[in-house]
Amino acid sequence: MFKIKIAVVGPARAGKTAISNFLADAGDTIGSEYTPTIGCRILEMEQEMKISNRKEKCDIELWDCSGDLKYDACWTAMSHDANGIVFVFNPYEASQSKELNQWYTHFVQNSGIREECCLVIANKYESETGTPNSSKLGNLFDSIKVIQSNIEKDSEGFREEFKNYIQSVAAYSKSKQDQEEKMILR
Amino acid sequence: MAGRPPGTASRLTSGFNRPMTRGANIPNQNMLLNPTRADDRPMTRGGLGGFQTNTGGFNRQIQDKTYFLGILRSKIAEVNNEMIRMNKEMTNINNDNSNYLSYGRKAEELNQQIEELRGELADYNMVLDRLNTSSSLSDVRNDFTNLKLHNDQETKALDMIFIEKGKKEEVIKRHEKEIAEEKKRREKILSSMTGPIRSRYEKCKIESEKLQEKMDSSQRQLDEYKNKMESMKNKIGISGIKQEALNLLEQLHTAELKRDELIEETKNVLTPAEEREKLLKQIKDNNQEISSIEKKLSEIKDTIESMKAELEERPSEGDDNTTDAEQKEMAEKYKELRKREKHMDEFLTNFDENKKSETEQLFNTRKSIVNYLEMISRAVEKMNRDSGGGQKKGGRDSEVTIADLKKVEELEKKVTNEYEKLKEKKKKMDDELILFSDTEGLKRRSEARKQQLLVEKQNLSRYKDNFRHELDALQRQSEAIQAQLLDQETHNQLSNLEKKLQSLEQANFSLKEQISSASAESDYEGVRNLVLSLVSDHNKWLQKQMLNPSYNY
Repeated sequence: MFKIKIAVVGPARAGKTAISNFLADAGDTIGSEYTPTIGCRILEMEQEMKISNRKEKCDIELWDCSGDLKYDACWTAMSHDANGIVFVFNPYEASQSKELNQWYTHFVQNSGIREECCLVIANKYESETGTPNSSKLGNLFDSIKVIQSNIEKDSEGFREEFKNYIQSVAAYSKSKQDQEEKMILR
Repeated sequence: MAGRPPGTASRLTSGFNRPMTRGANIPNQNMLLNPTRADDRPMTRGGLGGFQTNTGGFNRQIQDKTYFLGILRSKIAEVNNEMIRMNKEMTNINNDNSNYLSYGRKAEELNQQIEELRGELADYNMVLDRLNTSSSLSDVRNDFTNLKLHNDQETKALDMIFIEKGKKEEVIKRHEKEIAEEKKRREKILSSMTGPIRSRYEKCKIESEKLQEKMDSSQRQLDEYKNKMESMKNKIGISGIKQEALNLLEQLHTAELKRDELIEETKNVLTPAEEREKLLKQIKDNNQEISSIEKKLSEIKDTIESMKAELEERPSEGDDNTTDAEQKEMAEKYKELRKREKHMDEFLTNFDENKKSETEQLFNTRKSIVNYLEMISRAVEKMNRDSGGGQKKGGRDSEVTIADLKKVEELEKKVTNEYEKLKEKKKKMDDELILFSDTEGLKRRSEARKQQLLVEKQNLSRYKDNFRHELDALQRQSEAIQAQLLDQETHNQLSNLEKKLQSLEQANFSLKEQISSASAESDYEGVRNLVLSLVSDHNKWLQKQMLNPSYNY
């Protein structure tokens, strides 16, 4: 048994709650009205994965954090002991990619999480039209993997990609843990 | 004569020649001028009468006032006499009339008396008859009493009928009253009706009247027809042959109806196969139904049994008040349902409040979440700062060691887990080892199996030998038959003929091929058509060119 904490962050109205609900199979994901998240919601899910040729069950805690900047006092608690950070943004809103930088500085730079354990989700709503400006992401995100999501259209593909991401995070955390254990035993 | 004007002189004279018409005037003229000219008179009675009355005038020559008075007086006396006579007659007649009335009354009375007497006489006659026909007096008395009793009964019945009649009349009166009330009500409804409804009502009324009339007329027609039919039947009834004919016609009609029905049936009749299918289907349906009914029955039985069991479980209530138990159960159920309904109602009524309170709670929990998050953040930051500041090296060391301890503890947990797992594995392996260590048993078992297999092998080989023998025998038989066949002449002939046929078929085939190739060689039809079309095309082209000389190429 193995525990992983993933913080889902990003600007308001980007679709963090919708994505988290969808991934954790909690309630309706599509078509419900927008309700701003207050503070944060913690969703739990399980995933079976292979880590160093051994099957392991993994408990995943998805921290669906509010996108409102007035809760920045809580950010430390959110990022504390997180194994991975997932950034969600809406590529059709130009201001959001800028706002992401703020989140990046706190959740990645200040907490010392490796960039391999981060993921950027460009969430697309079906109702959006026009050209996305995902290329305008700051160069802070150069080394972070970016995936597209469209829950309303290709939900299963997105789920698969997220699973892969969790697998990599888990593998990294496991190896880190093993290293620490070895250090102590020495 | 009619064309001539009357009253001329010539007419007067000629008038004497036609005494038949003028006869009435003649005596008056003659009375003064020439009284004795009887030869001119016609010989009628009227004429003679007129002559006689005038003779009175000859008794007294002077006709003065006294003469006429005398005459008047005598006439008046005569009239008076006549009147007195008439009065007398009248009084007589009146007397007669009154007498007649009284006599009539008397006669009626007498008539009645006669009738009574006649009845009495008949009674006596009857009694006499009875006596004469040897029936005794007691019989008569008996008859009398019987009759009396009968009469009494009749009178009683009559009274009853009378009372009944009174009742009926009362009922009728009541009904009439009701009818009157209904009429009043109807009038009220009518008066309360407004525009369109009223018009519609009137329309309906008119229509109903029309329909009534129509019905009456048709009824009348029907009656007429019935009467006609009756009369015709009567007429027919006179002659036996006609009646027979009527009967036969009726029979024919019924027979025709039957025939039509049968034809309909035959139309609907299917082929036997279809009918069978239909019946099979019906059977299947019925079977299904039966099975479902059986299922239901079994369910019902189950429920009955469960009920019985329940009843048995409650010995206190006893067997005889099962209905009470059922009622109790029902009541309990009802109560439960009522409770549930109440709950639902409460839920519905309190839904808004509940929602409000829930949302409030949600809001509060969210707030508290934020608070906790903030608190945690602060604590973590403080910790970080403390550890980053390095104010107290010892503190930092202790922290590090605490973290390490935690990690060590976790590790220990993991290790123990792994240890447990390994232990289990070892146990399993030990079990397996016991199994494998028993080599003797294994050997025995494998030996037994080997023996078994060997026996099987022997059996099979025996089978094989048998089959081989059989095969050999069969082969020999077949060879013998073949030899026999070869010996026979007809077979040789047949084989020769077959060979011949083959060669002939080959020759036939080759010839056919030759023929087809030859016909293909000599088939110039296609070429001819091609050439002809080319020539015609060329000609057309040339014509075009001729018509269009301006075009140069």
